[in-house]
Amino acid sequence: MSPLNSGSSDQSVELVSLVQRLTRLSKPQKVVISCNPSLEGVVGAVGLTYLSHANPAHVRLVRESFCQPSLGEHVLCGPDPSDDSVVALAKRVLTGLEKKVGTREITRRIVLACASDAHTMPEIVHRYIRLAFSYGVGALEDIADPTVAEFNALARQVETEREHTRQFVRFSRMSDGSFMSVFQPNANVVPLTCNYFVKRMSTERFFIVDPAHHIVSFYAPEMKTFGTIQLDDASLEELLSRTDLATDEKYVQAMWRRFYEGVGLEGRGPAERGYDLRAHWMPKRVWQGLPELTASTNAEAARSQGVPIRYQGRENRKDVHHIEQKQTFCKELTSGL
Amino acid sequence: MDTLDKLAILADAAKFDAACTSSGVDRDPQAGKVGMASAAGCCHSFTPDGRCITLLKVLLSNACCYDCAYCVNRSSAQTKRATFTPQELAELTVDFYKRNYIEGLFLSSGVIGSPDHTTELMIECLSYLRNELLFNGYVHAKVIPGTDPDLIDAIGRLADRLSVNLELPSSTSLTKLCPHKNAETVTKPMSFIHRLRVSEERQLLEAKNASKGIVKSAGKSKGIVIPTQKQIIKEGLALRSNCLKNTFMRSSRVSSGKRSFSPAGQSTQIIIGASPESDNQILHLSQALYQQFELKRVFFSAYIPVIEDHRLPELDTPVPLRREHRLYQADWLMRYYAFSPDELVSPEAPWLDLEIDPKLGWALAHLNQFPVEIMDAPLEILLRVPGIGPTGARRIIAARRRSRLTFDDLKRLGIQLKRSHHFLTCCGVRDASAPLDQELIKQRVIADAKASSYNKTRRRIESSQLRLF
Repeated sequence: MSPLNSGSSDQSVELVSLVQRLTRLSKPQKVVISCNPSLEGVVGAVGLTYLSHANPAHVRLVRESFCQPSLGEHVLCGPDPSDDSVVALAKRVLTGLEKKVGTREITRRIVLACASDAHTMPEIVHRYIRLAFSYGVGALEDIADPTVAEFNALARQVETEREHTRQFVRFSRMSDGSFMSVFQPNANVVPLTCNYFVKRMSTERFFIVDPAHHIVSFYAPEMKTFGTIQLDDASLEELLSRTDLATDEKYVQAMWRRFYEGVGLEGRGPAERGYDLRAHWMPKRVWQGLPELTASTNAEAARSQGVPIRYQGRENRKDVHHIEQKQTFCKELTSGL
Repeated sequence: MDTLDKLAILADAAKFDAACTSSGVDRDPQAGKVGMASAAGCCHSFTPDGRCITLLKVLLSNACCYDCAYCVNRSSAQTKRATFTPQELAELTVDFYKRNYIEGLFLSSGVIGSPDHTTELMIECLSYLRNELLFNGYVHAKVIPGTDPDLIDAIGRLADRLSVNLELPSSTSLTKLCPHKNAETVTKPMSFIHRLRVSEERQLLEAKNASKGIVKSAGKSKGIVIPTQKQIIKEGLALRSNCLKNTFMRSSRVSSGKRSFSPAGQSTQIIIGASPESDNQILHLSQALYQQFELKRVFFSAYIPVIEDHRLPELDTPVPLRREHRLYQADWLMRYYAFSPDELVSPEAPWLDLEIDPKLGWALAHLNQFPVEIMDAPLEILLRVPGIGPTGARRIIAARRRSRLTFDDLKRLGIQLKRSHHFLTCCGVRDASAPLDQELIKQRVIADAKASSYNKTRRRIESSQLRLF
């Protein structure tokens, strides 16, 4: 018996039509469903295969940007993740799974796996959900099973990318006092990691732009939680072209670079080790966003913009912040005249 | 001198301190405060030599009045001196933290006049950081031998982790190279920190028991602690392993978040290669420190010859990188694999083999204990197999409850078959490509280890220069 019943009244016309088409197509031939690579898109597509009672051996899920049907396969556009009834369907699938498996851990892992950029992701998630509905808690415990192992590897890769995000996101203070970061992870993990930065910087306004996935996650102290929005090309371009750094930002970056240069030890580099340990721990694809490795953060250029009062080496500067705020205010006033 | 110039001097002066971890304490964010701390820590960058940068590791001052022979900041050295003002360093920490450069501050210092005066300055810096700038992130503070216990108590309430550097592995070497220090002044603060932590743990446990109506004294368990089957399986099924839960050392029975004094415990550092102590002596010393003072970590720092002194290795002596590496591996084997120091290096053969790792060395010396059957070996035995680590062993135990494991399954579980296949059977079957003859196994395994790029490079460098020790 299918874990989901078809014909529910909360289904949109589009979803009902998709169910009917898949029912019709999947009986005589094989079908490829090209889905949006989001949680709702992929899990909704899995729900669709259940609603249409499609033979699992006849259905394959692929990313919409990587749809390459084999001979004899019919392509079906997957459900639209912005459709409320698709979101509700995805929710039903996950709730049903949690009930079957008996723990929310399964949902956590599916959320992680769906954030992967791997082109095989939709089908791996599809196979895993089907296995979990028939195997129950075995889907979490039989870690040597090939389907489970492949799914876990995907979720683990996303977890690693979340860790890279926590490690290598770098913020710059902008002229309006907010903190901005541009970070390009290998999976759609910025929304899955943003809460970590909320905990670190709950007193600050900040935003992280991910150009690879066209999203920005943002937070301000007056917000209860962070927000994430999808960006169109123009908005993304506008954000990426911002150069209005706070006046002391270059100096702080230069200090960080100087610190970085100072802590390296001689006699332990790649030439003395036989391999590059730094590149092993810090993937080269993230290097370009790190001020410690960027040539533009050199000391003399930073000093030419002025040394912030708090870093001029004076004693008893408890009032430094007030002075600096006053100076910024005066500068803003005069620039407006 | 502005902060940028001071930072160049004081970061350079602190770089020889190996400890740079931000782990061991979980602290939630608090309203209005900046930052939090997580027990797993986070590495934010890596130096060109591959070491992790997680904290702003600097000295408050390198104007040191001590004259330790091995130290670049010793009073007789001709070097540029600088001192941060406490506020300046605190501001720098928060600025770096908000940009996600670091997890917090690692504060150490040369001895400015006296240990007490230096510690007072460090306390002033940390007070400003915690109370004025409301910094809630991680702080590691160095305790200078000879500091008054009241000041240690005060700094321990501002910092997450304290460390007292042992520096040299024997009192003889300490006396010879550090005329202002002796074994007693170094171990006394360690003992004091341990006593305070134990007493706080007891108070917290008694309060917890009292609130539950339990009448029981908070006793202390000793030696290694074998995890229960339930714990092993839980860890084995986790998507990512929790390194802290894989250790065999006794873990604290109160959560770090509840402690007010040095919640992340204490650590120490030993310099390797500046004095003649053997690996056996060093590992025994480490084990004694773990057991006696419940240290979280013992760090090893390979001596880099930058100072000309008749008591030290000559300037062209290569950095004993492989020795440091092997000692770390041995240290890991003691904490995560329940090895004892004498199993790794005996008083008769007191040096670790530089070509092969200590676990492989042990396995080759005990080939009669292999192969291990994957389906029924307990955790302690699985951990002795080269190529199976704490995570892999737990995964095997979790997976074998559901299916009969094959070598293909082990590969899927992330086990390094290239290293482990000689030493295993799966349901009584050996890997077809592994030789049966013990001598052949030895030859192949040693040849593989020696052929690694790391070993080849180090062998070339080390053989071209003379070693003093």
